[in-house]
Amino acid sequence: MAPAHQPGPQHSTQVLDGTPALRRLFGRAAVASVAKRRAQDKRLPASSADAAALVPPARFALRQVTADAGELTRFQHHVGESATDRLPVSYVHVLGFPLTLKVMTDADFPLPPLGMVHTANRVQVHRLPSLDEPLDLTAFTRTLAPHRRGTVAEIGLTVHSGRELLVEETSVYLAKGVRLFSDGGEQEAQAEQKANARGQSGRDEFEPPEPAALWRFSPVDVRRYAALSGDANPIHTNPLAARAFGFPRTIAHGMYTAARALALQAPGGAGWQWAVRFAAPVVLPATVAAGFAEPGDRSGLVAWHRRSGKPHLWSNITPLD
Amino acid sequence: MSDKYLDLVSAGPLKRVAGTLGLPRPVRLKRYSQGHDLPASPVLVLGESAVADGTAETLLDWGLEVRRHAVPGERLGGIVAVFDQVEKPADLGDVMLAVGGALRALEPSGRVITVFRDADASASPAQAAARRGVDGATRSLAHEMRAGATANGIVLAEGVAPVAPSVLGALRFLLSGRSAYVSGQFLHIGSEAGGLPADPSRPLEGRTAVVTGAARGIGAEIARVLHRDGARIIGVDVVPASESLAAVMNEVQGTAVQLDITAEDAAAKIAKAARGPVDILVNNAGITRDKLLANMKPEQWHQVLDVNVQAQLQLNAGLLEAGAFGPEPRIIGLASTSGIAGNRGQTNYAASKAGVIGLTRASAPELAGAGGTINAVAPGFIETEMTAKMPPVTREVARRLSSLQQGGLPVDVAEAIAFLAAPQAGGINGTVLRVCGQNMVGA
Amino acid sequence: MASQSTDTQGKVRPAAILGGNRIPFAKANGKYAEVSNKDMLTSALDGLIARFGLQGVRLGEVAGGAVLKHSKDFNLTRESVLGSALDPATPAFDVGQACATGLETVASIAQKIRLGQIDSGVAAGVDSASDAPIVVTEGLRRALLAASRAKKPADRVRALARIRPADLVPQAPGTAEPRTGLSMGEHQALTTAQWGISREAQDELAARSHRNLAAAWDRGFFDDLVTSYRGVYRDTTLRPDTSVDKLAKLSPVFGKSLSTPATMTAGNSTPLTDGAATVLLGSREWAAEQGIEVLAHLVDVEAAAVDFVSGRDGLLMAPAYAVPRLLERNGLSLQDFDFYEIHEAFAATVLCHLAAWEDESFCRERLGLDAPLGSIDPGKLNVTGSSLAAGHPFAATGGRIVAQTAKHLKETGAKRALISICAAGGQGLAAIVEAA
Repeated sequence: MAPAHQPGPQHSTQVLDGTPALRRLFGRAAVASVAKRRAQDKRLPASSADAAALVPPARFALRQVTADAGELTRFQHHVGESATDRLPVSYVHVLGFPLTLKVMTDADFPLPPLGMVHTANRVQVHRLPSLDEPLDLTAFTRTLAPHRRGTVAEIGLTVHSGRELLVEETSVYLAKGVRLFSDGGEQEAQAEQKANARGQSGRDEFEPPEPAALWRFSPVDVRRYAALSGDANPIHTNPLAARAFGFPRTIAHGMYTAARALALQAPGGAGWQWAVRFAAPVVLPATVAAGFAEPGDRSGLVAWHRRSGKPHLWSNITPLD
Repeated sequence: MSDKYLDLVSAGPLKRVAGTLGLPRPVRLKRYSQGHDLPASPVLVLGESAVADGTAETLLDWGLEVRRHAVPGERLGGIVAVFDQVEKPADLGDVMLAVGGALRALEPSGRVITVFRDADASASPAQAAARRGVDGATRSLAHEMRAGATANGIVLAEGVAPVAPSVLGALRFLLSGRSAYVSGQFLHIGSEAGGLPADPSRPLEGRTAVVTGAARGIGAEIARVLHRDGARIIGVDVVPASESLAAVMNEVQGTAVQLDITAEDAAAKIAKAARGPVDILVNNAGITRDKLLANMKPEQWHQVLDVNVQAQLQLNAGLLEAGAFGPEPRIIGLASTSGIAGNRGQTNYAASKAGVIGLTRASAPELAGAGGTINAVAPGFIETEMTAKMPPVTREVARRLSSLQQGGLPVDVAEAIAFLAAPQAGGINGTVLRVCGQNMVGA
Repeated sequence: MASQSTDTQGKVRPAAILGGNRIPFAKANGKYAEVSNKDMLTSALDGLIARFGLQGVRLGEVAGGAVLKHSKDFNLTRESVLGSALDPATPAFDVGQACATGLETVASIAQKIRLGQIDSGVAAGVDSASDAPIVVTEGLRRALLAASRAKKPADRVRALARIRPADLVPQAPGTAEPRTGLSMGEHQALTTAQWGISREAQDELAARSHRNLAAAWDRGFFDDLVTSYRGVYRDTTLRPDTSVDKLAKLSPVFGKSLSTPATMTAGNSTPLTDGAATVLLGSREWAAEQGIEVLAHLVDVEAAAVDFVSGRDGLLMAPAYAVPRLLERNGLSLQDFDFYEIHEAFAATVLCHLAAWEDESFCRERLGLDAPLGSIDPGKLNVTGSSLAAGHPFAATGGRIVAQTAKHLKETGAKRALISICAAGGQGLAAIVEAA
């Protein structure tokens, strides 16, 4: 493995024989997280100017992956999609998830994988994959950057059919409290302080639109999503683990709520992109309301906690750049 | 776009090959998107003739920034070099060297376009030498382009005015992101036929386009691009692909026609399904059954020829005979660079694709008589399911052997087809447009 | 439904059959095992929309239905429309008449078109024998309802305590008749024995169904009637290579407890199948506006029912009554048709009908006719294959038959076809389709 500080395109792609066992990855994630938090405490922070050098070069790939019709159908039904032969892009995320986890549990990945918060997800959809199409998936670290509350990592996933690029995804994760960089993120932190001093933050000003849908999220629903997506992160299924990471109870997967949003928005046509920004986690059980920013236009959706009015996510569909 | 080339060169058997060739890192090509048709940076128009002045006027009319002399330090979106008045080889130098002087200012995905008269109709050997010289210089310049920039030529037949619709159409196509993967090519304007569309962003408004093989890959992309440009789409594919075909057609608000294009009644069924005149026929459906000729089974040979070329002949003839075409028919056949340069293991495929080129040239007079055109587009290495079946090493070498150091995308082929289908391409007939990033394989 | 003669009075207009689309039918617990009725119906609708370029079009109405239906699918057809590429402002309703559901949806939409209430519509049907609803026992159901009504936790516990282990056994829906407890096959076996239908005749009919359907597929007949789904692009129960000899080797499965030898096998009975079918209908004017060619007209429909509980008639013999009533109203004889589409629930069902119409005493005593309806040319029967080969996803069969019949009439230039479909509960529907 090349040293992490060597710049330039020294990528190495490890093609995996099969989908890695997620249970083992989560185990590794737990061990790696403790070790990395300890190591981070001792390491000198880097300058944000060197961020590119810290990006691990490793890429992980799965070749000729074909979705299983049964698993796809169960997923489609669980998130409110019709069982068409086209893979919803929320399911493409699921297919790539083991690779994403592989990237984040790699020895060179500088952030502790457990407890990282999924803060945003962007997908460019050139064409939705078809059920019978063998897909090549590649995941890698796109960027690392300072954030007012820690460090942000962007994990990239590309999906090809043959050599045709179908989907490009960027998942944004925040490692809270992990300061990889000595600088950066101050402006945001100052802005937040000022806002707090005024007794208001941007979020408090959120005014929900008329609700278009209500979604009930029970622990059982979320456990089923965990099984269908392979994302068995214990904060979604185990109350003790959830508490260990500072949540009162288990929380729903961000991508589960996002998948339901996508199903309601039902984007069509050629070439579109989907940007999701996550806010407050959905603490279970919960009733989440969803509504459209513009009545009659499904492209902009916001979902919020029905009773408290706190926003959970924004989901926007736009034409491709 | 993500590129697995780097993965391969660092890990796979190509490491040494890449090292010796010294291939640079490919750039992301700037492609067409709605509202971003033409370069935002200034375009330099070189040449002292009236045609050069007229071209500059045209570009100004399109809302572009135009320069007649390079401004030091200023980045250029494109360079148009006009050579219409060259009489002898010595006349080339001034303008060509001025192009060279401006090249460093060309931005990534910039454009160089040479405009000249057809050498075959020259008045003297010296004039022919000069005109032909522009051809050679343009091809070589294309090889020298970097960072996604391209160089192409527009060749005017004798008597074609520089403001003819197809000259303007070609200029616009070559300047825009629609021609991202076209380099080292020449658009031959044979006549002043054609017209300018009312809305340049929807040049196919009101036209009906039949696209064969529309369920997947390049065909699906052709359907999308023609739909984007305003056409009503009739998508054709075989029954096993019908679910995909229905999805693509529902996406582009088209009509799905499931049939085997090699069947005798295919043309009649398509004409019926079109529910009105067909303005554009895109013969895209194609298959590969690669085998060395020594190992070729008869059915592998016959299937490829039946689908790739015999079906095109039948559909063209069938629709013409049935009077199914509108007043300005446009037929575009899919050829391939394999049909121009040949390719190991593809005797059957190359025979079929060279056949498409043959039928395209031979049909041009008949189509001209019917008020229309027939042309072929020859894709080079395009990233599709079909090319994924190539052996990995061959495929990677093929990708890198283009001046743009990358494979093209289905949309690049679709853009070329949409251009040839449009009203302003009415003066382009019987030609083959290569969309290959100037792949070095072949001519 | 009124007969065609009223057209001249300007009160009704013809209802045109414009085309159809279905997904290939698949053997139960096969390729469509995990998908729902809504998924299949949506896919079949999307294929129809693509074939006729109806994206974003507001149709008059969509009628659909399923025989085996989950309670959550109370609005099955409307939900499928919402999931399709049609204008979401297209209304929809669900219909139920057992295996005649599909033909009844065609009749309903056609009637509205004839009366000028709508200009266009889709008739549809879908069924999944794989994704069938599992029903809980009555004991469990009552206990759960009581628990949900309980106000205090103690009441809830008490209600739930009433559940017995036996209550927990799930009840799969069967094809047994609620009133007799006999399966459809056992019912037909009684009728088969009563009419003395031979094993050979049944196997011969079954082999011909496979042969006809295979030939139709091979010549591209289904190219514009079917859209692939989940990797299936031909009906999976079709056996092009089957023969009377091969069918003769199968052991009987129904009628084994009767005094006569059992003759009904898995080969001459329809297999349980999953699938969906749609038919596009419209007024002639609407079709012309859309540039869609008219294939045929739905002229008239007649429903009938029989008393099968007492054993007076066979469970599946209602069409034997519907057809003569339909003929009389339209002034036609049984021989006035170029093609006959008699749904092959079982090979014996078809043969019992043919026997009944040839039988002097049945026609005289039961149908009240002066003479037998007579025989029909077997070469005109189910000429493009029917349910024995294609399978029979209950509510989807009507749409399959109507689209197939209309296209075949158009293709051959023939004038008139008769359709008959038997259904559970001793019901049946018959319809006349005529060239446009």
